Amino acid sequence: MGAQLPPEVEEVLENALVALLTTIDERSEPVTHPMLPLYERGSGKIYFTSSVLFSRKLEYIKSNPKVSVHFSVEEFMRTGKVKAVTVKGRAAIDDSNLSEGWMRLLPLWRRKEPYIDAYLKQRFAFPLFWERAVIEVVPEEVVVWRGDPMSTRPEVIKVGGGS
Amino acid sequence: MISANVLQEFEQVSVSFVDEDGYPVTVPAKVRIEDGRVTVELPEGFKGLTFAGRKVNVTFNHITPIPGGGYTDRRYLMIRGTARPAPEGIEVDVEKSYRWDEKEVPFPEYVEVSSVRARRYLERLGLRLGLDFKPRIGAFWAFFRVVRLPFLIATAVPTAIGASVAYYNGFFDPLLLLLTFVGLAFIHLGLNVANDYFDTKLGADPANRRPTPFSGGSRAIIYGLISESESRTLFASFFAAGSAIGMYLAITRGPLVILGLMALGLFLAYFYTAPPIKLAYRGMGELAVGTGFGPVIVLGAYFVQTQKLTLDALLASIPIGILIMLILYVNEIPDAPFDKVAGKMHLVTRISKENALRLLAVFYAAAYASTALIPVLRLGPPTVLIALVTIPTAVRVYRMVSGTFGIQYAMIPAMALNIRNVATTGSLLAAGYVIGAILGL
Repeated sequence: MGAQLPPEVEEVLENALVALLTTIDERSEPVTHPMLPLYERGSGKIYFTSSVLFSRKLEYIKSNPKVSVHFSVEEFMRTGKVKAVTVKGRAAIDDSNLSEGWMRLLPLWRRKEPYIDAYLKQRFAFPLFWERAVIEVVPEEVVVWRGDPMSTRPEVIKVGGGS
Repeated sequence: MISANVLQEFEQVSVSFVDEDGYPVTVPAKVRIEDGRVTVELPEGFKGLTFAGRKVNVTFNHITPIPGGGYTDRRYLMIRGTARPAPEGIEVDVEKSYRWDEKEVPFPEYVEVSSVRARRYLERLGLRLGLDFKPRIGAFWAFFRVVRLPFLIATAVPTAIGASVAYYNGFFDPLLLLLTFVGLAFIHLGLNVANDYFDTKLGADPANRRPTPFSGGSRAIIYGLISESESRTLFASFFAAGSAIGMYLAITRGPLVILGLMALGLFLAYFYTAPPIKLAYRGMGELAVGTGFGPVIVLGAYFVQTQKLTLDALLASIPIGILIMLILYVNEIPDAPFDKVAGKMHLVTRISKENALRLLAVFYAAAYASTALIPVLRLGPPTVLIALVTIPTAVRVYRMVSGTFGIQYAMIPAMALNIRNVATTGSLLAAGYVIGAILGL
């Protein structure tokens, strides 16, 4: 079954240049990480790739898979149809093939950062940067602010989970 | 205390907390900072929540989207603390705050300081999966990085000069030249790997937060491309292979001189960074490099061809010795603050910026003056003066180094130009002898 996300939310996920991925640390406190979100329309899942250089979030998610992914600021979302979106869900880490496993997401990454291939060609310069785990987020609930979040009540949508 | 001014730097402001279901939730927020007091106005739908005692994370985030796609100019500020009710929403008792601004800490530096965490993650993962994880960059590129292959130019040029002086004097055996170069290259690669091994063990390379393609070492051990024991085996193998070729040349061309030069070369190569002598740590690394890549290589290459030592070969070795030393000298400038902390007290760490620049000019002047002396003393053809055409480039190098002195990433073009200039000048010097021989000068 698809995630049944509203089209305008899917537009945000597909276009946004930055998302705030919030995890829960070992003291049960929230920790937020600005990251490039990748979205696969068919699966309804949100993906991130994280270098082992910045692996703290990976450890947090392994201990507690509950996460949220937040989008706001029109310029960062590259769409003005909604003002802010928060997705609650569960994340899973795939670090079974750090060197190449994330490459299946390269087409999605390339769409948002067209220069990424040039950096990838310089892989030998930053070898650890390119050892990357995949974070897969299955949305469970979406909170959408269609107007100014400070004065407009959000719509809360329960979604069916990933396929 | 967090200043209210930070608010102007960020467009995206949000607050995160853990909700009743145990999920972290991040919502848009309006934040005010007055006298270090952080108050957060929550959005509709979350205004009525009881926040007293909850841990919160206030995020300030900025990127600058690039019209063609992607973004740049990343920065964020995180404030973590405990929430308590306030008329505006909540007030945060700040317990911790941290920020990253890529203008202050460039991304390569951020990557560098995070490499310890990456290694730990890989080690844990390796233990869990029973695998030995190494960053995968391909065998060629791994070798390229581990041995710092491009720096072999520093062996190729003086070897060519030694052989060119021999050619000028009527001696040339291409097979012997090839063998000489391969032997010297092995010893040079051994030097590079040993240098990285000892600089890693002694803390100089790990202390360096801003390595560049030309400075800060290969980072091969730090990045996990090679283990310490593999590194030891590799540099010992290179030294052994170089010594074996040296022994063969000694037996066939003259043992005393070749063994003497080889022993001196191996001593300088190994103890450049190896304890207890650690020449580079005692302000003698520049002299070691100048001697090793100047007289030792040039005279060695010359002797293999001619089976004699002459004053003209010795004179030819001086400018290239100074020039190769200049590669090291300029590349030491970005490393200096980190090397100083690690106790690697090379020349640049011991003198002021002004004196370091003066010395750069003096070294370059000495290299060109000693080149000019060759025909003046009638110890070589006047055609070697073609090497002086690079003087304007040397002036450019000086200006670029002066303009970017100590600014690590900004120095990269200056270091690159310096290496190119040294290689060009040395090659022209070698060509000068060959042209002189051809013209019968």
